[in-house]
Amino acid sequence: MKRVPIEVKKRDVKKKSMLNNYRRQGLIPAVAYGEGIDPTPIVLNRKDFLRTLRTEGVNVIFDLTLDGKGYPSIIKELQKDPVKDTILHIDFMIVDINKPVTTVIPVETTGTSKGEKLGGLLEQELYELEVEALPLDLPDKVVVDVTDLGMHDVVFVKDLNISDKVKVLTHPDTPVVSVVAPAREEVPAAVEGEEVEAAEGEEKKEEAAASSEEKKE
Amino acid sequence: MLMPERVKHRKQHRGRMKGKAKGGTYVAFGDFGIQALEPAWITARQIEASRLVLIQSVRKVGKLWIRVFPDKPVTKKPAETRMGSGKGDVDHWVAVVKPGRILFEISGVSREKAEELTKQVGFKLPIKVRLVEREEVI
Repeated sequence: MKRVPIEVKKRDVKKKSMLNNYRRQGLIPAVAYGEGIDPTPIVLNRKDFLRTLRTEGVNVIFDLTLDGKGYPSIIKELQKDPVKDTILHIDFMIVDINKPVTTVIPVETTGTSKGEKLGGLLEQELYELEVEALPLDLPDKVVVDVTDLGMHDVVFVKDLNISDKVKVLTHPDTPVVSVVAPAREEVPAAVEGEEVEAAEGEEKKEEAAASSEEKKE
Repeated sequence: MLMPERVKHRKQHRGRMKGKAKGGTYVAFGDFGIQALEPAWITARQIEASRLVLIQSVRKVGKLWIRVFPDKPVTKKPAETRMGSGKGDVDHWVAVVKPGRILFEISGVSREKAEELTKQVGFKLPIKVRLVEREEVI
């Protein structure tokens, strides 16, 4: 995991109305807790934080600079407004660089599988992997190469290429990616039968009409 | 159409739809989600109509998830009935939807197709909806 410095300030107010004031001023209210620190309410600049997120992503170690002291931390929770997509609050968990931490890392796929070329569908069933490792040994993400996957092939957690320094907590038999056959469209056999019957029926009607006309004559 | 098999109480109060959705606000299963932007009661009939629109395009190439369930009974009195004599009979079932709630999720389709489907589903629902994508996990 990369280390990214970020400037934060202490805040003493905790009321919702005051937090909304911070948000209007372009700040994000947050809290820092964990190793060697009491839970401390903080604020950080929204623009700077969003720039960092865009360039580095969320899976990085944030070095919080608070009162001239550095605290390595990871994001434990990030609250967003579901409609506006703005960040409302962040939980930073201060970590000890020399102690393992438990967190989740994203799983991504790369390439086009053989099964897909044969008309199959690639289904990703696991999007995040729970792992335990030293903060600096944590990977940003796990990339699964699906190029060799044929039809009905499955990649399990135990098949992933992960460094020995990282302990995977997700069950090893959990499927990650699979190639499945596309759902078959049901052939409406009954409908075909109906059509045939209907066509026959029409012919009979025509015959009956013709015969009745002949009779009239 | 969707409805509960059995309920503890046959009839409910109407309730209010204040604020935004507390849960079900992110794409959890598929690649894309259709998100509600307004509060409303979505009826089982509307969910079914939307499902039919989506499944037509998704059946062969992907998957569909319905993230809301109509578990609230709505009662109605018969036409031309005098007021009184108790609450009416259950007429239909609705899902209470607040802004931000993911209604449907789809996978296996391109973004362009998903946008087109969102527009089509919007015609079947009484609220504004938008397309949202899966986000990076934290």
